[in-house]
Amino acid sequence: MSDRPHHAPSRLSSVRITVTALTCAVLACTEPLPPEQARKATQAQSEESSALSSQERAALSDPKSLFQRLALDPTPLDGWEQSDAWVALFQGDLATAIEGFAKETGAKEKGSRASFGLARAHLELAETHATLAHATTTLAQDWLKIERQSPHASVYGAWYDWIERASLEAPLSADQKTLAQALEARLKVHPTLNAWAPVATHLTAETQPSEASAGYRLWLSFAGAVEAARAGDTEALKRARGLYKRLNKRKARALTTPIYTAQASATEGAPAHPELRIFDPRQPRVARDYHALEVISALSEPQAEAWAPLLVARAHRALGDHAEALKLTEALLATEAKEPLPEPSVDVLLLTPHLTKADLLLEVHALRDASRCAMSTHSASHAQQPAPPQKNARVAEQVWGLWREASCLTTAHASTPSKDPMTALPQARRQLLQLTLELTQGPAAERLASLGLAERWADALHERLAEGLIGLDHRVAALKTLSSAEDPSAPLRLGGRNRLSRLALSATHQLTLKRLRVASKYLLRLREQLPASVPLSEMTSDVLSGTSFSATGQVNAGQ
Amino acid sequence: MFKQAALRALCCLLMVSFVSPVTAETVFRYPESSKPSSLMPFFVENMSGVRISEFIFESLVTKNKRGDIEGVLAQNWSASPDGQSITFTLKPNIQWHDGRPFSAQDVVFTVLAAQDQGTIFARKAKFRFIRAVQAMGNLQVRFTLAKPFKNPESQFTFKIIPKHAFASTSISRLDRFSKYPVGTGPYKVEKNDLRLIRLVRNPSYWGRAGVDAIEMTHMPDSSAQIQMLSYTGKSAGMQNVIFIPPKSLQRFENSDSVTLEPYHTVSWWYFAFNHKNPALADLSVRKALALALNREELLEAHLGQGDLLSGPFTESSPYYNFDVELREQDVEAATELLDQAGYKMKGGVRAKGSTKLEFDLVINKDLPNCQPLALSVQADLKKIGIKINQKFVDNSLYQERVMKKREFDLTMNIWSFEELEDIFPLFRTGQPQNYISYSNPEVDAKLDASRRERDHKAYKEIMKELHGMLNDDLPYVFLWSLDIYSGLSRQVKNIFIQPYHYYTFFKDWTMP
Repeated sequence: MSDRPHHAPSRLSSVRITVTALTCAVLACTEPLPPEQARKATQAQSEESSALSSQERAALSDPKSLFQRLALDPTPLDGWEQSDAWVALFQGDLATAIEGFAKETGAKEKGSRASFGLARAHLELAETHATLAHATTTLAQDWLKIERQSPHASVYGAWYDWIERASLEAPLSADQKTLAQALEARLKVHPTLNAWAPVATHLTAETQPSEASAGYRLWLSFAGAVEAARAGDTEALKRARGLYKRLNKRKARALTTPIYTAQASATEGAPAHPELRIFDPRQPRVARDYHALEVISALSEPQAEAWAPLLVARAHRALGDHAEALKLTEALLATEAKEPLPEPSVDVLLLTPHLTKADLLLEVHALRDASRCAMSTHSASHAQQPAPPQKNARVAEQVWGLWREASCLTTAHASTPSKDPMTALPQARRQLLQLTLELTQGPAAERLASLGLAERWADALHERLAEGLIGLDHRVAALKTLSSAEDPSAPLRLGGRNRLSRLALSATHQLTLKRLRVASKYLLRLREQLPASVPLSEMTSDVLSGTSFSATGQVNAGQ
Repeated sequence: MFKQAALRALCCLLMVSFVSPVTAETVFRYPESSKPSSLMPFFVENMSGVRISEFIFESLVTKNKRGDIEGVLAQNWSASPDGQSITFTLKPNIQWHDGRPFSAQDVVFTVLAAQDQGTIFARKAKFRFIRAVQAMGNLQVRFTLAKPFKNPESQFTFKIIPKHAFASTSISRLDRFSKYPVGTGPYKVEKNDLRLIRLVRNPSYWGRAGVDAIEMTHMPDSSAQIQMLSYTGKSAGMQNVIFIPPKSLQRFENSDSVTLEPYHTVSWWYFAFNHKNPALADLSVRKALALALNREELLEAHLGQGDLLSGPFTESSPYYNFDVELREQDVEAATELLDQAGYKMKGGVRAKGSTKLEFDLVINKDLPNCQPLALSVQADLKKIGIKINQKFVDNSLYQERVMKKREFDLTMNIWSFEELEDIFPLFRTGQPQNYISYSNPEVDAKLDASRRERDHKAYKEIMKELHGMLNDDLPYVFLWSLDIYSGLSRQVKNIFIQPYHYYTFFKDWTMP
């Protein structure tokens, strides 16, 4: 056994395997293993290798599979490498990718590769923000519990009410709406953003608030435009796009500074109230909606890429429009049944958990079933139990089966969760990668290995598996799955193979495990790329300090 | 083909003839850079001690893998509605390693011993939240708390020690128990010498444990540790290296034999001054030293990726004050400060009167990559006319000389924290872990105020202020925090690393 750097391709032939086995046997002769250990070692080896089915080998050897195609003809990779936007997408620098693709789509006709790339970048951001939005809503409840127990809760109570409403999207009362309208007039923001009522009350109350920052007012305008775009105002998305660019340029100031900082005045001699910093918990939700709308917009024209509707369906899912997601996935499957869809291009497959059309269809089926389950919470007629994954199925089949099961469970529809979660992937990762390298034959095989394409594919599989495990409340298995997909060269941060969506999932999952300190580390490092993570990051910090400050901790030398 | 088959058959035959008739025990081996300061939980003062305690001792409750509080020695509990008292019912039929029964009296004894003025240890404050403790029969114990807690059970994670092992509640760190302790945990100490601590499975353990024995070897050299990890699978190999320096991570990525696991401990490195030294008591000299160090280069060259810090918190702490700027290397400013303070260059070393800027940098040999780090520090400080004499000492001598007798000028070290950084013991005048003899009345006043504070937001503000004050006053030069990965042999299964305590879930680990 040797430790190889990950980029070194393995070309183990069957002859070599025999020789290695023989060498091991010789070593065993010189330093014999006790029988129990030998038996256990053999058993462990066979368990590891059996984690991958024979179908896995067949799929990886399929000439239509992504790596086989690229190993023989790497021209599509050249296409990626020659474009700054595609390179940025590959590197996970989504803001740069969006900027680049937007320029390219402006110069070319609609339906070009660039618009597909643009949609991919926006979709990744939409799904990342969906993760953050869900966690923000959940953590806001813990945050409020702590804040409302503080000695200063009575002073800042109205603010806490506002946070609660903003995080839950609850409707406001008529009186509050009147107050909000007055404030909106003052701030000149979009009229639909009516959650500012308590702000208005406090502008004239006992606190001494600073006005909302200029950056925050800009954000409010952006949020208003996004809301209008969701409501069908076709021009609003263009406005939102322009405001988004401005926000992006000044994101450090606009979104990572609190929207409101106040220190309530205290009577003479009494201790001062601590400073209150408020962040808007709607930020990730608005960002999710904006990016999802951009996906739909980018792919609204007829596309050369036949698989574009899958991206649009995912965008609708992010927006909570399950009916549209269902319609699109059913249409894709109907097309496939009528006249088989073409093999997906490299632009569709690279950096995803898919290698072939069959893999993509797994996702389409899973998404269709998940949409049906989501719809069934409103209409029982859509309810349909997804089929459980078959035993000895390929890793991808198991992953999508689990994802589908979890999607239905989290929409409060499906039956009991899987008792035996699919945990083989983290253990089988190394074998899967080795097998991939071994079976990938062709003049460009080395290039594929040096780009770490197999690792990126495995990472994407891990991400979907983790989503499924989280949905089924298999928290520990999900943690292992996520950590085994994290690139140790850039721990807890963007870089190497680490992508924003996976980091956001890791951060929010650490919150579920009540490992607030670890979550805080992730979130802090996401602030630069994802300013909408700031409310979650701030609340995590408050919950951490609120729950742990009273306990004197341990301090020890060393690490 | 025939030859190969024949050779294989011969080997198998030989293999059979070599095998031992008895079932081999599974031994989990791991190296530690430092030996544990003690195996008695109260006196554990370093991270190797924290980790090994997890095998030997147990607490009433712990946080399980899902993040929920779960009973260990406690079967269940009931807190009063006001959160000021709690009663634990203990699991029956639990035995200490020596076969004596565990009871509520042991829990009471642990608290009384910790609160006894004669038992002197650094983390005494951890027990202040308990106002009174009372056994109610053998299996129930009731605590009255000093203040209300929302979930009081979560405070009871301290390790329980046996009453029968001590003559009184006043416990000395020199007690034999510190070397050969008796716990209720899954492993008991069989051997404890200078190089090796061997633990074997506790046969009367109430739960299960997947591995037969554990051997902790003292091995300060991190490159030797990594070599031993690579050599896994043989009797001399190691199954676990706690800290893989970032520069060595690539070696194990997608390794056939080793898997990497994150270890999310909260720790930071520092460069400390002995404030009893008249020259180092001068803030100008400390500032000059801080400005002369190129921390970015030190980190990158010798350890790899991490976060540079401006104060006694890591960036993920709620108390980290991002308004405090990082000090970057500025040799010119450092030189100017020393000039203004009256230190003139004489023969390559600055001096003012009879006070020469020549210092002993005493370093624990167990500190990772300490030698190249010290060399670089020496080179940085030479640029401003400060001479450094490097002195690398063994851990025991370091504890005695630096931590106790305070015989040093400069040192480098690491502090690790359980969840939130509690800096009171480090910088409050007279505290045992304030071994640098730092004393600043303003800092003391803030720290005292923090101890009285009941509102977490106000506490946070105090900590942020302290961050700024300590950055200005420089009791230490705050260096960096690292993201830590551990390396584990793929022979080990069901690995789950607890942030900070590390081996909390070891009993689930197996070596099939």
